[in-house]
Amino acid sequence: MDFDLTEDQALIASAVRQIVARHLADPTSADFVLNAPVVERELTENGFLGATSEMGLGPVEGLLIAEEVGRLPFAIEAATSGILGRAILDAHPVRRPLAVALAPADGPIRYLQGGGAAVIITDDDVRLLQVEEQDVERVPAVFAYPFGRFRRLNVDKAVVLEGVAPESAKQWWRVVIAAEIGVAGRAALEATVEFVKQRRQFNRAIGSFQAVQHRLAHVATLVQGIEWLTRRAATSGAAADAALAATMAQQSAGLIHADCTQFHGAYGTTLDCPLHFWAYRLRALRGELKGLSHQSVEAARSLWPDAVAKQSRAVRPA
Amino acid sequence: MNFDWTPSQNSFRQRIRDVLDRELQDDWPQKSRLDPSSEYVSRFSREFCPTLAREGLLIPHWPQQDGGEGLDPFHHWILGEEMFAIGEPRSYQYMSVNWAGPAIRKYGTPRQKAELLPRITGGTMIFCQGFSEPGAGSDLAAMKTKAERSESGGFVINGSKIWTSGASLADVCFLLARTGQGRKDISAFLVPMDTPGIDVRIVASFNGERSFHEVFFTDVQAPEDAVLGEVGRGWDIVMSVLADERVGAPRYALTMRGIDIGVGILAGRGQFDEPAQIRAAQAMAACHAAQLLCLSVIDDRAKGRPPSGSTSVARYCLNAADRLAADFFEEFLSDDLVLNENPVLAAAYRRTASSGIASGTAEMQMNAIARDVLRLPRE
Repeated sequence: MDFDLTEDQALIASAVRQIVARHLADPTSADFVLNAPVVERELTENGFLGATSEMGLGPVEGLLIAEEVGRLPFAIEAATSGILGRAILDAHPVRRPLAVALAPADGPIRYLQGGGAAVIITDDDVRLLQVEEQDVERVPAVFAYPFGRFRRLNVDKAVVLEGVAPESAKQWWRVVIAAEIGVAGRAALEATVEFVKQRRQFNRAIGSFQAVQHRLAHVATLVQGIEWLTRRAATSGAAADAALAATMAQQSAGLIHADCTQFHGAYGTTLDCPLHFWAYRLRALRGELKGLSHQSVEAARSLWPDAVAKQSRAVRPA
Repeated sequence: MNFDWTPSQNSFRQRIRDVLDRELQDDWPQKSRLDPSSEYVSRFSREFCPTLAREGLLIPHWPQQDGGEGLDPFHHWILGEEMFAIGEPRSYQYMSVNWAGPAIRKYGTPRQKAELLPRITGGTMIFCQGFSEPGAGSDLAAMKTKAERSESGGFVINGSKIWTSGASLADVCFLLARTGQGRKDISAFLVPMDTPGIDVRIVASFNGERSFHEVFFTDVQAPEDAVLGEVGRGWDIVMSVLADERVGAPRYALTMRGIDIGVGILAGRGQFDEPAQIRAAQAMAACHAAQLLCLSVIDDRAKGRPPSGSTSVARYCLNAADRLAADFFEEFLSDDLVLNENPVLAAAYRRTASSGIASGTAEMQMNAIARDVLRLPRE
């Protein structure tokens, strides 16, 4: 057991951190979603983004990269391609951004846009679709991610990923969800801690009030718990670990969002305040892959398969 | 990054399980009620711990020159997990080997070491911890129990302690008492519990048979060499030893076992429906988070890093996980809790009630996180 990054992992994280650090300053334009083609290009040219990696990076490294990239206010898809993509797409050429959805995929989907790709999970298989401009329409949303919706989706035109079970794709999607909640939670917490150190009321920083400190301490605990569960899930590749990480993450996302917004006061609800880039991502992620209850049931199935099977037999009509 | 146990750690865990399988009878759960504070478990520990000592499993984490095997903190943690999950058959001897013994090793006089260490390493000595007082809980430095120099040499101790676990079972009290006027002018004493002037009363609690006591000290004579370390350095000694131990008990080990038992009970009745699955899984997710946070602290310790705010994060997370487990138990197993027929379930549930209080309250942990992790201002 070793909680430190390997030398290679630390080098990768450090290199991405250096790129990210150059762009961490508050965004000058306030919008619900911020794109940053320059940053994205720099990360891509250095081989840090994408489902295929010339450097041989796997889902763990994908997670570490997503942890760094997610600290930016910009919507840069790093987790889905870097974690799920590297785990299940093997040598398939995949464009970015990579979206993922359950069939029939008729609702708004994060990062679904022309020029990118989508993984569609059906009941029986997993398919990869190169998404063209005419296939999708943009969905205006306040959740700090770009959302798109299929104008028409012909699942039959997508490439079936041989040997990839729907459950495997969902497992890695859970790791993506946990990763994104972990990093958005971390960024929201850091922004809030800085804010409550500066904001003064009653002649003192509001961060000096115990009522504020305790709630942020609770948030910090949740964020650290999510981070370690996610790292374990990415490392082990075990279904139970992924379900536990997503359960903890979706269970915590609402509280992290609520408290971080609360301590910013009304300012936290405005586009002037960069908090919304992370806080609203947390909200969007709460419902992904059918949400918390679904991940919890999946975790129960993984942890106690016999008990769940016994229950299924007990309620099945004769 | 690697979250797997090593082969050595796995075989060490198996070694412990083999001994537990051999030494704990089938009726252990019923007789012990998994209550380390019970007379039964305390009596059992005085036979069990010598067996552990013979097997090299009582102090494997101690240095070889002190009789241990010099195993790393992960092995120590595994030992704690296995013992806690099964109801701590070492009773309060876990304190002897985890911190009281190490404190004596580090600060004791040659006579104290010669007299006490063989009994600790032999598995026959139970300590109680005389720290909290009616007016000094989280604010330990507010303690009033006094140790004053006597004319005949040594000290005279007067005052009272409360919440003292296992006091009526203990051989020696690891006592903190005030020896000066300064707030932290406190000394550590090793006081035999059969010393005249010590009066022990059990405080009834659903936490355990003898979990809590009041201990009264009335003109208790303590010789000069009852002091551990220098006079006036008791605070530093305790902080140093507890900081070295860091996380304390791996509480999640019993909580996870309790959840597993609860799931089994519900499944047997056809009641493990989706609402129950959801609650159980959410509690278990929090337990796994707590386990990983604890292990990250152990990893730091194994690498020789100084204690950090991560310890408080781990301790607070243990409490948060226990709350979710209690929610699951109370919502889906309330009849079983009332009937009290399953000792493991009952013990796991009972333990959740004290997890935000014992060994530093949840609020103290949150204060520490705010200060040491988030660096929030104090003002």
